[in-house]
Amino acid sequence: MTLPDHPGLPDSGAEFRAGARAGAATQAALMAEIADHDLREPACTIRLYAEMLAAGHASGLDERGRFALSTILGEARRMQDMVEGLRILGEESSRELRIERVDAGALLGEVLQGMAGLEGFREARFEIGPLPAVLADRAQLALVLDHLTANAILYRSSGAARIIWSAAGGRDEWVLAIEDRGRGINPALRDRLFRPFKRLGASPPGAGPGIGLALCRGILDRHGGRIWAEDAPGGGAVFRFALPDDPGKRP
Amino acid sequence: MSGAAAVPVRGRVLVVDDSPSSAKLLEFLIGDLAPDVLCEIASDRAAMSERLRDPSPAAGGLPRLVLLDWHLADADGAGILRELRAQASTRTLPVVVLSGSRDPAEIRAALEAGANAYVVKPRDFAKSRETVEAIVRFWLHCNERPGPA
Repeated sequence: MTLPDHPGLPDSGAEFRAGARAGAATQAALMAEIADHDLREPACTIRLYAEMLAAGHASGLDERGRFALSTILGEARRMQDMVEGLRILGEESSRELRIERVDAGALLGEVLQGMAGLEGFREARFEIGPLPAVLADRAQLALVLDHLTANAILYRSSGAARIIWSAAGGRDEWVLAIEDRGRGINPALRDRLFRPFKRLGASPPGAGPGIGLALCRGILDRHGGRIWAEDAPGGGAVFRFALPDDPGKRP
Repeated sequence: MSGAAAVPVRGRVLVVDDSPSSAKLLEFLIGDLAPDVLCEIASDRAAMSERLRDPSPAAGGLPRLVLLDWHLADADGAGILRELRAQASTRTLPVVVLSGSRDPAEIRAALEAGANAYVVKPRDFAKSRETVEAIVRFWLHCNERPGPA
């Protein structure tokens, strides 16, 4: 394990946490396998038959029957998306980390280039402060940067999104922050945000199955870091994530 | 489906799938899209072997195509394919593997065990129709077989 642990923790604590992470990874792999092999097929079959019914056999149904059918269809599609989400979550969290020094600013630039197709991206106004080189798995850090930026765009309040990326710290850890002027987050619901499939309100067009923040939390957990949400001083939300840093490993 | 008696049977497709709902869906789609194709269902390995045991025209002849579900409860797809490829009568029988997974290792295993093609089961009805239509059109209308042995 090349993962740096939080300074100040006794060795046994660090070992315990590493062991817990390995256990969680096995659990996640099992979850991915169940989602992939056992849940996908029934979800898919229900959807296929409901679509067959709707496409060729719905004329004999009365209004309530048609409502029941469209409900079955909608829920089957949602279930299929969630099963796919579980599979992705499990797959990502059982992937082995390759920790290296990653220039977060350059990586964010690459991530933003790949987001050009997202609705609302062109109009978005970005302020990107200097971002440090952090210790992280490059591909997984890219996922975190991507999900947080996409969320800020998708959940903008109205008009163009305004997004501020910044960083602080540098002694034992780096804290990166993304601030938006969007709808903000009800404080009572902040913890639910990081659970899979928990949306606060209606899902905007273009949103995925609702695993983005759960995926981010899993990634930060496995880096020995953390992620949380706050109110932005200027309205909207700030998502911050901390990555432990080891000055000895600085180039 | 044998209900369309007026249409001469162009060929038979044998669906090997232990999930009645999946097998029946294929039968429905083939019946709608290709009334000249007779769809038979084998729900396990034994039923498949029994159906293919006698290739004589009197017994209905060999199917033009086998649609094989890769994840049967009682047998693995690779074992079934090896069994088919080991017998003279079914050595060249076209087999299209159907699976829910696009795992490259699984695709390679199927092709190496003797599958003629590997198709990922679509997630929605419209795409399922298109896929079944394409499979039937190619394997029953374009592909030539040497005829009864």
